[in-house]
Amino acid sequence: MNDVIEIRSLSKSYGEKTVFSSLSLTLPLGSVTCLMGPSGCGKTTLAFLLAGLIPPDGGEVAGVPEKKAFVFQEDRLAEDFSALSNVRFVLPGRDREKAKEVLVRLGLGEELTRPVRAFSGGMKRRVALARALAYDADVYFLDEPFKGLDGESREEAVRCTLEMTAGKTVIFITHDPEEARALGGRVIDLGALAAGKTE
Amino acid sequence: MTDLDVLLVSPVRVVVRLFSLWREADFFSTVFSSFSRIVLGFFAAFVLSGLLALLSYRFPAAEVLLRPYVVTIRAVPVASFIIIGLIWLTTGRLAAFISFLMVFPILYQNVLQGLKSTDPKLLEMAKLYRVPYVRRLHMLHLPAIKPYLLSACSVALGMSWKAGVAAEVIGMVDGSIGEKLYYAKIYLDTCDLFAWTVVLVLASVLFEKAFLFLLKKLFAGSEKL
Repeated sequence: MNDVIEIRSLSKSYGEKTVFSSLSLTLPLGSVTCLMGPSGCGKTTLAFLLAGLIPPDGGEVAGVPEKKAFVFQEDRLAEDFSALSNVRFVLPGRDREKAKEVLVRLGLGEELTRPVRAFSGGMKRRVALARALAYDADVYFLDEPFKGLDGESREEAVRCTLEMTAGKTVIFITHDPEEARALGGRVIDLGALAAGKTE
Repeated sequence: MTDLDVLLVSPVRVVVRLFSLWREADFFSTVFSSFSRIVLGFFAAFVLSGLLALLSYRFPAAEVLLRPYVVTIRAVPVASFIIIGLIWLTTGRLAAFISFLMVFPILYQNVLQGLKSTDPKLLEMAKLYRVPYVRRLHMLHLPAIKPYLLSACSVALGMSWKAGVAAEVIGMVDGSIGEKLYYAKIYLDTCDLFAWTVVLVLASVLFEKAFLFLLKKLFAGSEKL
């Protein structure tokens, strides 16, 4: 079994706009990789390609584990349902205890049964993060997972993420160099790579 | 009764007739007879339209195959269906059949539209997490269907009563509200016609309110699961 995710000569365009042309790199399995770079450099596109959510125009991706969790840029929550229901939605057997445990960790213990529709942006973000962390995935794609969180809730979210994904593959997307440092692991400047350079 | 009463009866006389009507021996059995047939047709359409909409959503070929039938049912005048029903069926089943045909296309098209309006980003998320289909149906599709289904039911319920009773009038279904309306026409008994129409409207509105109330409760209950 490979211990890396291999990206070979990957290319992807949206109409006239080329995001990648012949991007090649390897990402280690079982550790954190931070994808950084300016807006529009293709961080989210690369995460989508790795997760198999969109097909590449050319090249290939190999070695991505099957069981994936994803914190999308948008929260993607079922708004009529509670925080607890949203997390239980993705868990095998709708594991109530596991969902509750993660939500409590992220400071939503008092809000478990309230419909997500009534939540603030930061609270919704924590529900989306809890959903991914509660899921026992082999690879976690975290696209700006702490966006909209501040102070203590942000620190707790970072701590919780590090603990719950320890030893797992994490592809972490951020603009914030401090956040990248907090999560540790390897940092890849996708802005430079997407221009066509091979790492 | 004066000639004028044939043309337009006074509201007071209609109210008086209404009070005497419900004391008649066959009043409740007449109302129940029409109610059961029309509601049976409505529920059959409700269930079948839901199942077929789901089938069409999952398999686009099914939608293409069903489209001509749905368009035909919507386009053909109800009188033609009533006459076909009179040839094919016993008069007892006529109202249920017509009620079914009037309701089915409305519910089918709305449920299908609701399913198609489900947020594709939520579906993509569910696919990534490998969420079982029944769970997706409950948490993603059902909330999307809700506004479509509620407004479609509101329209379809009224139509099922109108078309069902029209079928009873033409088919002269024994012991039904339609039969009472038919006799009111034969004897030019405008007072009876108005009184039975009021009964009909009340039954239709009460059933519509009760059904929509229960449906909303069901949706609210499912959100708490």
